[in-house]
Amino acid sequence: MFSGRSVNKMDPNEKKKESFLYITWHRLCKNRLAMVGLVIIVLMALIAIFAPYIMPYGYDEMDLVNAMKGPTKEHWFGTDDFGRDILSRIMYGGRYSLRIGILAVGFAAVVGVAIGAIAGYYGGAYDMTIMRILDVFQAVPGIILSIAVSATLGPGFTNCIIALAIGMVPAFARMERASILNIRRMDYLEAAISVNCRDFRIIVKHVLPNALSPIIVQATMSVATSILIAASLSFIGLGVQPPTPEWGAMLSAGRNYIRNYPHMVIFPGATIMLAVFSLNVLGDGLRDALDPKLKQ
Amino acid sequence: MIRYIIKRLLLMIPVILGVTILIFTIMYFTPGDPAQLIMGPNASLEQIEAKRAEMGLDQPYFTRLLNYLNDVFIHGDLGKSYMNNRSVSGDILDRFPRTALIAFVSVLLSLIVGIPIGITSAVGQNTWRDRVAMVVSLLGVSMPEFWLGLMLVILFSLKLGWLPPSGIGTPAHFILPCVACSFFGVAGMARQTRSSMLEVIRADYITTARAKGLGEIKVIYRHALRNALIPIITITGAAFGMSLGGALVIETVFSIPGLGLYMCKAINMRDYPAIQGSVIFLAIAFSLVMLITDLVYALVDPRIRSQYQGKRKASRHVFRKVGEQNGSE
Repeated sequence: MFSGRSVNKMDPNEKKKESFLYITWHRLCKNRLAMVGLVIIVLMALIAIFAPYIMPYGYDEMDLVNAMKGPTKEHWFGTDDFGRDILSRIMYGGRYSLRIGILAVGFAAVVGVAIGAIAGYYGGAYDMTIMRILDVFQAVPGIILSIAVSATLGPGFTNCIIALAIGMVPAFARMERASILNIRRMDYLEAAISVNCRDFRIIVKHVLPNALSPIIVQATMSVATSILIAASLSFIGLGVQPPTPEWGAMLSAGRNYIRNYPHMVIFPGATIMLAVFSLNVLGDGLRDALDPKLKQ
Repeated sequence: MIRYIIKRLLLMIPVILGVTILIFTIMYFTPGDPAQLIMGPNASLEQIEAKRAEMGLDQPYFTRLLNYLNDVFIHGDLGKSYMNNRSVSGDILDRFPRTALIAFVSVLLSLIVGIPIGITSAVGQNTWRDRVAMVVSLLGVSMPEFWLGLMLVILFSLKLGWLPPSGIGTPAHFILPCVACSFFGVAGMARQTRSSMLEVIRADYITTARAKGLGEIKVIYRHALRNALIPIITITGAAFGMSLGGALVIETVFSIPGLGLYMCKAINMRDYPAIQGSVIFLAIAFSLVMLITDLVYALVDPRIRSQYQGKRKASRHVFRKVGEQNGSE
């Protein structure tokens, strides 16, 4: 689609920041699998946003006469135990599942980056204290920490986001700290310090933009992971609860019927897989595009 | 080496202490009154108050924290379950072997299956084998493990009737849970092996090995794989943590009475000692696994091993090297 030459033909007066985005975008476009992932995930997000206008039935519209029917022409993915259309529920459920993933990662990234930036930039006692606290958090595998936190907070949409975010903060903080330790040695940082820039401005204006690429990749992959963990939490009864049409909760509600009506768990699970798959290939593609040295 | 192990074991203590305080604090803020839950809805206010006093729930946060730390670290006692008044440590030790078995087998499977797939992929980069293996392993890391478990139950237990769908009677009962739990690990391991093999294969010493006329098999297994294994060892520890988490959830699919079901029950009953105990126990288990990983890592990688073999000798060695480099510049 785009050849390497088009990059060279760029307007030389264009700002450097834009050209970086431009090059990254071009590299990403060349990766067909990553583009497939991007298209699928954008499509899923659009479907979730416009679900009320495009879903064939209401997500809570019960029809007990047609309960637990397999896939038919009227109900593509079949109906559940209350005769609700599974396709509509999946479309609407994207609003919960995708939002949980994105919000949890957004929250974790902001907090983690802030903590990591402080630890990496100031070093010394700050670094020591923060890293030891993170050690404690990371001594428990993320999913177990999320289980413990959501057991405390109780089930629900917001609590699920908080539980997931807490499990992910240490990874972001560590990553940000590592990049900042690298950047601290750069000449442009010394230049910024020498013109008496304030710390906050240095961190936000000079350090963060240069430490952004790994964070973007990590965030994309983390959205995928947190969708998976959110589904697990809902499944064991800790995350979002049925009758909310969150995908994990739909699996949890459908598992009692797998003997005779497996379609109730096949379709929501396949949707989770598709979403996570798309995010993973997009993350892979972004990593290759942002850091051409790693490209294989 | 022994000094390194002791140092690492000592370093574990503050971490475990921290985890205990963290979990206790999280649980302290849990809404809901266990005394009320134990006494039932018909208990009078006085009875509940008496129970609270008996359980020590009316004491301030720091007193309770210190009591708990004292119990856990001095007496090795995780307390008594509110559900059945049995010792939490005993219950955990009864159940943990099943969870550990699933996690351990799935890590083993992921090494045995994942690494060869990764090698084949890397050696035949961009062939159809590589592409198929990578798409399948991408799908593998994209599936919820418990959903894969459900799918396996539908296929092998309900449709084909080959394997039991739940319970723990025979070894056959563990086949589906282990496979379901390992798939994520197998896929992840294959991806990791592939990328670290690809990195190594481009190194100069591989070109040298080829140039001196070594057979391709020798080049791959003797020279490339050995070096590619180092990052793989590092992620094996993390993979064990993932498998442990996965096993906890998988247990609910296959109704295996392991730590996962125990925790689920404890969470529903607001059984703080049981939840706290399980999480602390898992943290200790996970830290030990990470320690073993680091030890293996140190054993395998001579660069790290040399750092811990007699400190003085090693440091002199480093100084000499630095001196040589400075001299040559």
